Amino acid sequence: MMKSTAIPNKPGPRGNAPSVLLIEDTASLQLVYRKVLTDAGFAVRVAGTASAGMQAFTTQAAPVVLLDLGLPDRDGLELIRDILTLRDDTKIIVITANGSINRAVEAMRAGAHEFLVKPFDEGRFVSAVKQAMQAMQAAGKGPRLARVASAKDPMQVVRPFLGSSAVMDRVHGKIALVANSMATVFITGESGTGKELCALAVHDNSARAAGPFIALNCGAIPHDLLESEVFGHVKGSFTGAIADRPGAATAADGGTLFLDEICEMAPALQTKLLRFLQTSTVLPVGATRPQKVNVRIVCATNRDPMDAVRRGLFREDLYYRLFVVPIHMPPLRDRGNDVIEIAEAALQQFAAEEGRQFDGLSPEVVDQFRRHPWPGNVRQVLNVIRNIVVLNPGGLVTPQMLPDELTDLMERPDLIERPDLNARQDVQDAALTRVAAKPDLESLLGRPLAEVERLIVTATLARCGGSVPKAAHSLDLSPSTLYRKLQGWADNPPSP
Amino acid sequence: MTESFDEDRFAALLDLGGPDMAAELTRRLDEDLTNVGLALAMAHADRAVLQAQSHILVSIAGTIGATRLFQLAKQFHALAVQGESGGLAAALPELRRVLNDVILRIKSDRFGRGTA
Repeated sequence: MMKSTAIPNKPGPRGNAPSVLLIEDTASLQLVYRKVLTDAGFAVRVAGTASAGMQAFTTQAAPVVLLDLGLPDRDGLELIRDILTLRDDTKIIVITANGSINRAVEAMRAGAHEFLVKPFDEGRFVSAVKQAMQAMQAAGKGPRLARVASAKDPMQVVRPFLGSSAVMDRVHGKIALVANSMATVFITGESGTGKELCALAVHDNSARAAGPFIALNCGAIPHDLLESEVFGHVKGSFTGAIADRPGAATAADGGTLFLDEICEMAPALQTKLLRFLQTSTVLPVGATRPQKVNVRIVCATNRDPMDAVRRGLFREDLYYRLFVVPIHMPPLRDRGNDVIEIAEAALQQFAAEEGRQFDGLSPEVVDQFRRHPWPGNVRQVLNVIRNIVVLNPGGLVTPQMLPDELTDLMERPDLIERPDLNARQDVQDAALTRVAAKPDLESLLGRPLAEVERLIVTATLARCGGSVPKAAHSLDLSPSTLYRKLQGWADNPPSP
Repeated sequence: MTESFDEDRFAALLDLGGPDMAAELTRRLDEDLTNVGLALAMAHADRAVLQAQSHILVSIAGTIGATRLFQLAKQFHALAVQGESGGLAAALPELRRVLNDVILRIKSDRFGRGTA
């Protein structure tokens, strides 16, 4: 079991720290595992669902994946197969509380590298990850796998940079021009447009390509942990600080620090970030002497950053410090025929992965794809194509093969919420949820808000097969909030 | 509570990353365990829910040193996998009682030493 007394007295991740993707849905365990791995010197990215894990892996492949089999949205064994389809050399360590031999055999048959039964000893845990990493390095692969794909990379086809539209040509041109400068790059764009890939492309085309690329999602880390994550801390600065721990800014020394969802950063930390940008020095928590670092900053947001400044959410001086070279990742609906190029390429790749033969898109489908606004952008196109390949035997892709959700949206375009840069929710999910629930807006008008809420929640639950965690995710609520609502309605049922 | 809860292990866990992390960890544990408790209360005879929630419980209880809860959750999970509906119904009240004790123990830390 996890014991802090056994924690190695080692610093956290430094430049080129081996990258681990942790897919675990229990928030408390996420925190513990992440801390243990970070202290052992690994750079850790965390996902709480199978879909988020797959998205994180597709965006940036990790050489080692720690996977909880009991995920709320999908069977873990299927996820193992999908990850290995994308990268067959990935080392997947299964972590589960179900220690049955059958489950272990199933996991190993699916291609898992190691099987750990929870709760596990910290030493065993870290040792398993190190062994997996060593196996990758022995095969001539290692941390650098987690970098942007090469031209020969099979994942290239699922990257949003595919497409020959004029607007994407301009993006490519801008990346090429800005990469070799030290200028700060500010990337904007809706969810699913490829902001992190853009940041990776800037890094990999720069003179810093041999240095580390450290990505930090400012919106995913609790505010009270963010300062330590960015700037680190020194031994003895607070109870439990048993060793110096460099933050992301130090880990990125000589390379690039990518700050995603920058507009979500707490105001107090914005002040410290500004000082860091002005002085190129970091002051870890508890330190008295600043350390000089050489870091290039790339940041991104799906908001309108100037609007965040106007609302007082983002410091104006920091905005002007960061907004040096803006790159806007265009939504797919503004990329002309790119949607067809992307869909055709994805169809070929996914068909090959599934061992099927597809003969391209029918003219009707091409026409529908061109007219559809694609609120979830490239990510949504890839999901639709994957759906078609998995659920159909092959042949020409016809309108009948399209997922129902997409067909509904095409027939009822009024249901699609047009995304903008201030959208905080995943627009695709929101639109699909509304269609699945099929609320008749007219019938809801004039009803008490509490009743409308109950109807929407009930319909969402039904769509999610009764799964509270899935419905909560869809409604952008915490499961506990949803449980309390349901308990309240069960205790006080509405009068007939 | 000392026989059913390994205080040293829990304290060591809270000391993993300083006071901020301790506060965050107790907050998350409180929420995770409360969610499991609510789900168990509302699961009725839904085996899939009972199996999934007891799976989470085994992981958390084992990690934090809640030894009694860990043992009960493991037994309960095995019953859920086997589909022993009679055994599940009999075991559920004790599991929920011990789970509530552990939640109260976490809360005492969360609103005591755990807060930053």
